[in-house]
Amino acid sequence: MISKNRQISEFQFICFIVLSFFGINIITLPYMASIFENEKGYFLIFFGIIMAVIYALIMDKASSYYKSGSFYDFLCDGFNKGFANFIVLFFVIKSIFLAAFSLSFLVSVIKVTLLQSTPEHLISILMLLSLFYLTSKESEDIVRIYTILFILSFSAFFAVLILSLKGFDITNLYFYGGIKPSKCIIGSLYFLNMFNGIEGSILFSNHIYGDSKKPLTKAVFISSVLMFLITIVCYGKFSFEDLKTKLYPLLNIMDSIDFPGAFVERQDILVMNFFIVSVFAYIGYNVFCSFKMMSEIFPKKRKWFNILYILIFIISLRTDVVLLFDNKFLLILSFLFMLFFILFPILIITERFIKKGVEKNL
Amino acid sequence: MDKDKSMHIFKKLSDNKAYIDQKFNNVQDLIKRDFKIGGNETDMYLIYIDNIVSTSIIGDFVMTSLMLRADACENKKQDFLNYVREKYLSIGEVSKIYTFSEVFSAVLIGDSVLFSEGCDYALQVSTKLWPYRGVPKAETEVVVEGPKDAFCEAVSINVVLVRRRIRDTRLKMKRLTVGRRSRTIVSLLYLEDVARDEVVKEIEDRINALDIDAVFDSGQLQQFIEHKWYSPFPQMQLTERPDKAAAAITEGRVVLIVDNTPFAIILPVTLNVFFQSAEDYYDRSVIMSAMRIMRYFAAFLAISFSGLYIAITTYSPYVIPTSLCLKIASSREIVPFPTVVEVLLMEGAFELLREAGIRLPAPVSSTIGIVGGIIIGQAAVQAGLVQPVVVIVGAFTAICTFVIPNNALVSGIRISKYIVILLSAFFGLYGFTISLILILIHITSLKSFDIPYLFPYSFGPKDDLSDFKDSFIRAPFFKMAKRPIFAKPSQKYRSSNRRGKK
Repeated sequence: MISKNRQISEFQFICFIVLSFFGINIITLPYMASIFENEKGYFLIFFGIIMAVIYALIMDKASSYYKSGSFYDFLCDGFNKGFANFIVLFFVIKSIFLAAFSLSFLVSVIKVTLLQSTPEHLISILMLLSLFYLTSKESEDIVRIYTILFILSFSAFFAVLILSLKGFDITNLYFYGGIKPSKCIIGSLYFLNMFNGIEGSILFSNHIYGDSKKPLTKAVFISSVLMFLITIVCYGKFSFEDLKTKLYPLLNIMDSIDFPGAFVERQDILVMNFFIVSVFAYIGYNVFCSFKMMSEIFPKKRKWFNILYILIFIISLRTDVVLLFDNKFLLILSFLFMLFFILFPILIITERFIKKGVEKNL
Repeated sequence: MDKDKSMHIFKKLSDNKAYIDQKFNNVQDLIKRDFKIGGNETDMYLIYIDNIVSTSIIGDFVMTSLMLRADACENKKQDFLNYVREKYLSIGEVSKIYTFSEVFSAVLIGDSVLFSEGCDYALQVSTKLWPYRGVPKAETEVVVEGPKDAFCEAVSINVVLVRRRIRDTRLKMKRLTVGRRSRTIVSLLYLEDVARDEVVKEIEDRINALDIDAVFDSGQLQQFIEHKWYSPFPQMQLTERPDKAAAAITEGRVVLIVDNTPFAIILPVTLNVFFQSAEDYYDRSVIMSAMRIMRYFAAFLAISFSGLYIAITTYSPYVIPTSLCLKIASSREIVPFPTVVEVLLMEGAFELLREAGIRLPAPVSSTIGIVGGIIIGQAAVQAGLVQPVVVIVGAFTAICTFVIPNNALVSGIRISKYIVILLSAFFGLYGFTISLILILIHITSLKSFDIPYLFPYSFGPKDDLSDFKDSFIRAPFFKMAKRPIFAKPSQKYRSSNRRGKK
């Protein structure tokens, strides 16, 4: 009534996306980059940014076709009902798995750093209960919550990160480092995979007020640049060889900072809080997207969707993310998710092009 | 009552009397006065309730005028009561009423009702004189500099206190009645050209839709019209200060003054307004901005400090400096309880002391402070039931709540604090972070008449962010040219943005 409550600003949308995708990945990105790259140099991440931005441009184009109303109806309108059902179902399964993987990851990190004696399932249950409360809210409320979380957590995080520049060794940095083109492609695909699940943002893009130009591209670009900067900080702070031995280099960076006259002795705890917020945001994003998709198909059976929490809980207990690459089933599943993630916007755009072509011919 | 609504006043005075006698059976403070005017030719009947009317007004301006001055020939006129009203009743507010429900309402609010033989209507004569304790001094929202007067229990006086501050014809006052039995008067005040029409209408609709027995206080009415009953955070603002109510009206908000209570309701609200004190606007902006920041900081500490202490000392002691950590550990040696029990004991003791202090008379309540704060606190430490640091944590949290200028918000914070304490006790810093996120989710999703509760921190795409100038900080007045979000967009500017210049 007073403020346009059902709508969000472009700024809020960008905060929402950055918080959902940046925090969860940044904790391990430098380590993973060094593993994948197996070479000195940060060119690979630079290449990854280009890939991510191209993907975001395609996704923005796909989002521009979906103006208002139910997304499920939009899919049914474009494809036949069976295929629309398949897309939605696959999307929901994927979101559940991504949420469960992240939850399992969070639990394993928290077990090591904070709560050694607390049972894993209690940690998961607390997170799922808070997500249950989050998903009971409307889309615009969620975006607003994320904006405030973004401002609060990121301002603290960056203040600490700037302090970490002390001891930064520029000689540790190599731009190219003799990377092979094949590794470049694999590495950049890995980088792109960090945004896996971002296709759900299409459900929020039609809430943006006014003529927003490529909001997702802006959000992805900002996230990528931040990831890039943090990776550089990690490279500069530790040597390339050191980085390979550190699973969570950001925690190590924070631990190495000395605040002048500081009261907090272990700064890595600040990153842990940031990490908890980020994982919460990422899981919340996935769960909310799957809830929204489901409620568009079965609008009157919202209570039944709570079964998704039980699924997430069970999967998170059964999944060890660290062993993800040793498990064939999970590896195939990850590959399928990646495929869906890439094909999703392309499908929508192709369908529109074909439809336009047919209309022209008629 | 429904029957009375449709029941018209009879032409025959005896029928009217019989009906009134039936309705007011055993109501012994109802004064019924029969008299004749115009050379004993016309029967008149006056009713009112004793002690809520001004007997001097009735004597001087009703009875004397009618009995001594009304002429004999005039009672032949048609529409006799109207003639009496125009010629003999020298009182400002006299109106015609036609149904018995109007008669009873008039009598019960302190007016007198005059019947006449042969007239199928009556005259409602304003003779109200309710007992009230004068204009008191503000007690719950005390300021060092600024007006000292406060609302009292009489709605008419309270409206006058606001009118004294806003002398504008566009200040509108709608009188609504709530409660089937209490018939409580609720005055709705707003600036016609500044307040949003949709907000005024919705408030009016919500109040008119109420079907309850009685309303005795603004807090009661507030619970009937708020959005989310389960939220510990206030969704309306109560104030006893007329200057605060007047300021809210000029911002485009609506003020509800409920009869029989010295607290007015201001709505819509945002979380931000609960951190604003009347004094903020009477002193210089730099000083008051510092105070504002301190209040926000205090509110954060009031919610989080106890929980953070538990999380750190129980799960992550390595976060704090080693010397402090060792000191806490050594003082904990003799304490038989876990930290969370200690903290809950202290918090519980403070809550009890606070409650006891409120209920007791002022001289005794200061003794309770001494007994609770010094004797029990010190004795508990010496007995080894709690460690001194926990007493400091509890006391510090309590002091932080005193800094917040709104009592309702303090209550919300006190309740929320326990969620943080419990989750921190079970899950350490993880639980601490999650509990704060949960509280944030809750307050972000609250709305007051469609305005986000966290505005301007959580905003919509079309919202004007000039409200930040009166949020964490209080900008100088010449910088706050725009009205807050509550006002109509067409009335956005309240002043020129230059000092003393057009």
